[in-house]
Amino acid sequence: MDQEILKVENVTKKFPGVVALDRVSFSVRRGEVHALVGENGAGKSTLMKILAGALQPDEGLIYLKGKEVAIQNTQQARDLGISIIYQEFNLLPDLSVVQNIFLGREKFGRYPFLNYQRMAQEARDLLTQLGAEVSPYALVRELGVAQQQQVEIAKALSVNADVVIMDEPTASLGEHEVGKLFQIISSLKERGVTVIYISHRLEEIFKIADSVTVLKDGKCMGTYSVQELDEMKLVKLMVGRSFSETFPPRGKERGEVILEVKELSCPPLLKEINLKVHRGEIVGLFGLVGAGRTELAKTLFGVYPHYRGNIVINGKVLHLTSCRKAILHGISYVPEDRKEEGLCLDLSVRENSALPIIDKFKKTLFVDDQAMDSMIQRLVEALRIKTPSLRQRVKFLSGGNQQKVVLAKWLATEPRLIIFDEPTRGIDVGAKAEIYQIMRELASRGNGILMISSELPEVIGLSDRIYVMHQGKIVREFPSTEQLTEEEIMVYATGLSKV
Amino acid sequence: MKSTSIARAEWQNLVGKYGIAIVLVVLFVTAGIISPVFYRSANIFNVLQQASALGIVSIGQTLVILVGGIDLSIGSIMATSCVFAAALMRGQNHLVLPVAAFCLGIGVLAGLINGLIVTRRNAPPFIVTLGTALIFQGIRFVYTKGAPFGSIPSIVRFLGKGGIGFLPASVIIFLLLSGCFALVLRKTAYGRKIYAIGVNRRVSHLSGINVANVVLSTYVLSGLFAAFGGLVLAGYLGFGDNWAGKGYELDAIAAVVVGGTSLAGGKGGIGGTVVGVLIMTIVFNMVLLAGLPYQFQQIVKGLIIAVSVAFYSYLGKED
Amino acid sequence: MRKTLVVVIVSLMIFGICSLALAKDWVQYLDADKKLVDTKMYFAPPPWKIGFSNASISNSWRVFFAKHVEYEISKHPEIGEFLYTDAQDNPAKQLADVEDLLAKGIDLLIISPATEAALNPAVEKAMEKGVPVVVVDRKVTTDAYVTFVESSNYEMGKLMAEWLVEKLNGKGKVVLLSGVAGSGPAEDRLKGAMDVFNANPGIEVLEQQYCEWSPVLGKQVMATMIQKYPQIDGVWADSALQGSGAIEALREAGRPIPPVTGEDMNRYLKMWKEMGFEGVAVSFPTWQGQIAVQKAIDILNGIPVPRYVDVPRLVITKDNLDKYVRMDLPDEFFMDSRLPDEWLPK
Repeated sequence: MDQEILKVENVTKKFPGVVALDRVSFSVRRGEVHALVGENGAGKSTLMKILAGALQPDEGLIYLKGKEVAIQNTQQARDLGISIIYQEFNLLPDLSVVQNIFLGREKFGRYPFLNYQRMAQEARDLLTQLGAEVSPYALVRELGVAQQQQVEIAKALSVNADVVIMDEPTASLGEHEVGKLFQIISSLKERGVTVIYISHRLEEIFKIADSVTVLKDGKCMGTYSVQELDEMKLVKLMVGRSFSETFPPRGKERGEVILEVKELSCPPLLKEINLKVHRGEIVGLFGLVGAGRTELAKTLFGVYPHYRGNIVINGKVLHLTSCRKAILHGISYVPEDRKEEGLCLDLSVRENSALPIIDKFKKTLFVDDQAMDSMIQRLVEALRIKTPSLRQRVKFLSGGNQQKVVLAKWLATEPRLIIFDEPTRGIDVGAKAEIYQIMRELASRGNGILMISSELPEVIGLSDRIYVMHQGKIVREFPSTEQLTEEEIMVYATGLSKV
Repeated sequence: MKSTSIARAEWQNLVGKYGIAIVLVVLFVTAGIISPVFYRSANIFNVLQQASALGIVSIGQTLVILVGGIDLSIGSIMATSCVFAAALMRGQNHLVLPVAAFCLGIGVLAGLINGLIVTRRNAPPFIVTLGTALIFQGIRFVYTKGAPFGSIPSIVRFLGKGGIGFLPASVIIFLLLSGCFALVLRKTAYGRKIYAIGVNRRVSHLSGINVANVVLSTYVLSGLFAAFGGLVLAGYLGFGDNWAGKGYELDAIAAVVVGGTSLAGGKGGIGGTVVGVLIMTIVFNMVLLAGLPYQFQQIVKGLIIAVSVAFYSYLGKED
Repeated sequence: MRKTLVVVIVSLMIFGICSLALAKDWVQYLDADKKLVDTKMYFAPPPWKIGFSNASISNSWRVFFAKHVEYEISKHPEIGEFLYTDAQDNPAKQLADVEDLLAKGIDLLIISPATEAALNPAVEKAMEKGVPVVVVDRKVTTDAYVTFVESSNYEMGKLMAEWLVEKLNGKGKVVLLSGVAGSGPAEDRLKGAMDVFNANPGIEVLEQQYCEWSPVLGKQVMATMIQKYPQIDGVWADSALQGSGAIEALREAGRPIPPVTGEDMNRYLKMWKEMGFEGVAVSFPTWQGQIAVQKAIDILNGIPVPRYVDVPRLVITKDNLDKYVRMDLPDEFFMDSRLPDEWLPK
């Protein structure tokens, strides 16, 4: 059992201006769960793409089962027994589970017709082995995220993969779905399948991994067995920064109520929501996937105008029928999906930041670019956005800096209530701390902040007050977060304890 | 290593921006080599005159494509405008203003119909405008019973065929409009919104931009320009023709794409479109001057479109 | 079991192909040189139900053509029912249209096909069911019809070319402007013209271009020809559509307008009258439609009909121009018309 299945030796990959991987070497034993960790931009995804055949290394060798291999394309990677499950799944939503699993490798009967019975049987077997309750005939579109992931894993196994690489597999899963995934990973391990597990979530690594390879700035910081490490050690290897520093001290005073939600219902999900946000406080909103957190945030931002109940901003009852109206009343929404909802990736820092307020810079007919530039320059400096110029297209910025550009965009509107939806998703540890600082500073300047997060340490560490959502309802409010434990919140979020 | 790669990126950027202008210059020189007649001022006049109707409608098409739409109804709007102009002006100069206003009104109305269906019903613009093209054609046929009548008064004829030296009146209008809209796209809030919507509609919406209204306005402008292009064609011809704008929708899309505007939206601009229009027209002229059958220009046009699209997508990948 | 099934299917297919290959005698001729068709078996007492499947009315020629059909139908009380379909230039729709007409139990089918070959199955099906077919304007490539009424495009192109040669006294440089490349009428007209030009060595064909029967393209192409050739003695245009565009280009060039051929379209006649150039109009008669209906009625009466009817062209010259040009009528009216004024499209 204890033999090497995959060995990477001195792999180097350069992109224009960046060395993404710098002589990276590590080896993976057969049948282990091998975690690959590092900050964003450390080189994890480049390494993964090289193993998948999507990129070719500039230098270095890859050995599979002791033999040197050159992985030219993804097809070849699959033939060699390497399967990858990307963060964004590679499934066709309008095809059935079985069609997806056997896509491009359909099984035929005696005549040139597909043998669906056989494929469905094999798919059913695979899914049962994974403990997944998914019908082979269901359309992928109709499945939940966790089930889609199970289909992806089944697809990987159907090609008899020896090595399964999972990229941030828990990113879009709720907590109890994560537990299920871990069971699946354990069963893969029992079958002798090697799993390379890429994740930001360090606590998961200690639950599931046998050994850990740490990448930092494209260099390999070494491979360790989990027994040698604890969370603090691992974080230090990744960033050289201690974890407890990340959260700023809590707020001292809170002002008058800025947002009050009364009996808000929005079919099909939200039911009779009541909540308040004061000036100067950060209110955490925790819930598992499907609890309705994002739906609530978007309703407050005018995206879903067909709601019942009242939304009161600064004492005035508003009917929020559009985002435009919400923005005019000082509401900002920092979305969870930065790339699809937060930024126009192909536009510059300047264009993105000015987007909501572009009409304010009208001088006679034209936009006053100088006034706009100087205002945005101030925001860029205040938020410490690292960009070569205001004209840089945001797709070339790191995740943390992109998130700051989203912030700059909203701060330019001079908001009073800022709704953050997963503010630190996909952001490395260092940038996270900065975002927390900024959020706290915004609150202390008298803004109200509503923060949606599925990361418990973040919710507890940053919020002044916490609401917990479950199935479209607010099931609990914690007026103070001092001495609050993750378990207490979880009990309500999972619906184990009803109020 | 770093500085050379940046230099390379800069160079690629330059090629992406001005490459098509270089193609135009090369074409301009080749055309002269193929036939010295090309440089004759009367011929340049012809080329520019033929470019201007296409150019005017291509400005509208550029706006629509920049927000990620497409307008296949412009050819039909052009013909409708042309037919109504001839029928209602009846060759009389004092009727030019009201009738021209009426024709432009038809264009605006047509654009409004396109835009409303596309934005309010969230329908695919390809199908919507293909359908409305048939509607406008039907209206034209019902009105004319298949036989257009009337004639075009001298003021409109000057618009379509008059000019100064080798500069036709219509090309001056085309260039003025291009300049205006290049400025609108670069300098106004409206222009910036168009690009933002083209790059990411959802983000623009969530940033408080009234996406539906901006998209609607591009279709209205496209309809307006198409109606105006129809008037220019009416002036060029001197009579109403039921099929006056036939094929212009596709030529306009081709000119826009050759000019570097991405069909996905958000990238490109009017400058490229002007160059694209000139390229398409010069190719037409060149093929005839070379004595090749007119169909040959389809091959050459097709080649230019295919090569330029391949070229732009190659540049896009380098990001 | 499976094997027998395969054998059966294959033999059925072979049988099908063979039966297609076997030439079928669709009509019986009364004379040895196959000019007159016997129509006794189609005799039926009135009232009749006649179906007309038209390709489209997408240009004014087709509008006039359809009007002539209607007009002639209106003159015959023995026609009890007249069913009309418009395929909007779409052969697939026209196939469905014919199916529809047959299902409604028509006694006779008049068809003006959208394209030559695509409508073969439709007319074959009609003839098989015993419904006689009159093909008009454009042909089908099968023999499955009773009579074909058209006006020869070859003759039309030839007449125009002969006039041009005569005007130029057999010597001069000419430009040829055709319609749509590859379309039957355009190619036939061009062939007629080329046969004449080739027979006259004094005539130099400078260039032949297609203009898609579009006035805009006619003007654009002609404008370039004018730049390219310092001397153009004559223009052969196969239709007044690109012809009128070409005349516009010639007028703007500031040169004397050379002889230009055209059709009986009012726009061309008006330009001719106003500008006074040398012109000739050879019609492609819109009243082919009328003749088709007359032949249809003969068939239903059991009267023998010719297998092929060439409707004679009208030639308008300087001498009879005033008789046909109508300054008060729309541009795209066709003046070689048999319609009384109240039947003209309004």
